Amino acid sequence: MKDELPALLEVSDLQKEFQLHLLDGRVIRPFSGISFKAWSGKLVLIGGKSGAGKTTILKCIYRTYLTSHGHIWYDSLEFGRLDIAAATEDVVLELRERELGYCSQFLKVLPRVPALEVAAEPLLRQGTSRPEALEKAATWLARLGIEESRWQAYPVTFSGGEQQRLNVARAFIAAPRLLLLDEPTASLDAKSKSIVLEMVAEAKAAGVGIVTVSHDAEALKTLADDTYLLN
Amino acid sequence: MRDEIKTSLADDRQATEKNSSSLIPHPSSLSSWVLKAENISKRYGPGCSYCAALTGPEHNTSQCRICGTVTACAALNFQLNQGQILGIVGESGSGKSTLMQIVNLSQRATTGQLWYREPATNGAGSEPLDLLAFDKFTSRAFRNERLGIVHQRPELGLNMNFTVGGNVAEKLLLARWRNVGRIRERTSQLMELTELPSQRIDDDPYTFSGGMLQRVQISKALSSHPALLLLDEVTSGLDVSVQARVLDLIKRLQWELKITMLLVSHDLGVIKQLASRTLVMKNGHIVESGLTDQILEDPQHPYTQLLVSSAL
Repeated sequence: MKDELPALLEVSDLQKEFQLHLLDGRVIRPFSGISFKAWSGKLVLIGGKSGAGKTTILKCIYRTYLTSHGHIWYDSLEFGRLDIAAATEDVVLELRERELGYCSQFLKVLPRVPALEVAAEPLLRQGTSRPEALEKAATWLARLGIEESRWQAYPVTFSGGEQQRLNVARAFIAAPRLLLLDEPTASLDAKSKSIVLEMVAEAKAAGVGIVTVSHDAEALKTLADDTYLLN
Repeated sequence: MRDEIKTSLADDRQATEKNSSSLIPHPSSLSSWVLKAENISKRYGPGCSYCAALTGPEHNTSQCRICGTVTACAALNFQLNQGQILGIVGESGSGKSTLMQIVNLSQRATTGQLWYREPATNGAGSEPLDLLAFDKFTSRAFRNERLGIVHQRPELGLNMNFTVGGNVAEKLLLARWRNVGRIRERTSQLMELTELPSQRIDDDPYTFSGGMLQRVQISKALSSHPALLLLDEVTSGLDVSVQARVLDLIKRLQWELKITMLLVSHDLGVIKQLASRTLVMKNGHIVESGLTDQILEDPQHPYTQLLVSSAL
């Protein structure tokens, strides 16, 4: 059934090389020739141990890393089918703002900005009005179990788990078409983990294509439609 | 040509003055460019035929050893899109500030073209203008009405003998505003926007702290609804708590007013938080350009790798 639909994301023969000029130009290849497809409303789980290059794949898709070889075909709403690896910077910026959601492993934001505004940032960037964006952010934070008394606090003062949840909220809030989740359940307790999994399931049901990398494959196994193991 | 520009600027001023109650200048359209530099070069000195071969990042100098000429900018090409912040990083002497002054039309480029296009109001972009072909008067009118600059040190951008209100009014007067009531109204609006107490409009600058003065400079720069804001090391010299608030303000200006900005900074953290695209300069050349997170996380050029790995 799913093979008949065009893929939302098609990674073909992806290779990434890091050339370290400071170490005599040594070249590091975390992996070679990765290919997989992701569809709307499906979840692709990529597992593997630390250092196998899981995050590198996501960063190549988000264009934080330049792809050395291969293609990342993405079926964009606005631009049609395009190769993210070769797209212009302006197209990538537009895609990031409108269509791609990325949840990184670590939260890095401007200091002294209240958590509520940090969560609302992707919406504000899109041009949503301030009250509306803040209201939406509030619902997400409430759902993720961050107490209301802490919404005006700065994220630096948050615990690791709370920062992680804020990060998850930022990825989901702008309703992306393709979600890239980097260890979404790491450093979360059982309750928060189940909330995040519920959100992932909901996004999946709403037709969002999801690519997630995790070494905690157990948690996400039930949601995954395709599972790959990176060696 | 010159008259055309004058009339277009005058029309714009009228529109600006009319809309001065709302702080939002233009709706955004992301794809159109505002500023485009083509082969911009700046030489300090006579130049000789060896300059190009003997300067640049591969020689680790911007001074020619034959004639002593410094090539501060060598054939720079870049494009700045509407509503985006373009970061420029590089070591001291790499030509960042020269580039900023060329864009501010306070230095003449030796060669090259600098195209400016008025931000699109309803999707239709206007004709590009070559800024470097402007004469002195048109340049000045353009600088006063379409550009805003925030200098590294407040004393460079503000007249310390005028009151804060007077400093902002100065730019508005130069932009041919004449109604005193409107000027004061606009000034207090801007002070509120930049989170300065507007009842202090008639105080002297020396009674303000460094961070507040930086915000006065931002108010002044924003006063005539610039299409392009030039920020030169806005946060250096500020303590971290004020720095955080200035950065937050700049980010909000970008989201809420969709102002296009050129941001020069030493501080990679500032660039990371604010700029969507970044140029890395060394010895007058752009050695690398790209999306900011790509520059910082996957630098390609040896110098960028050194720069990123040296950051705290």
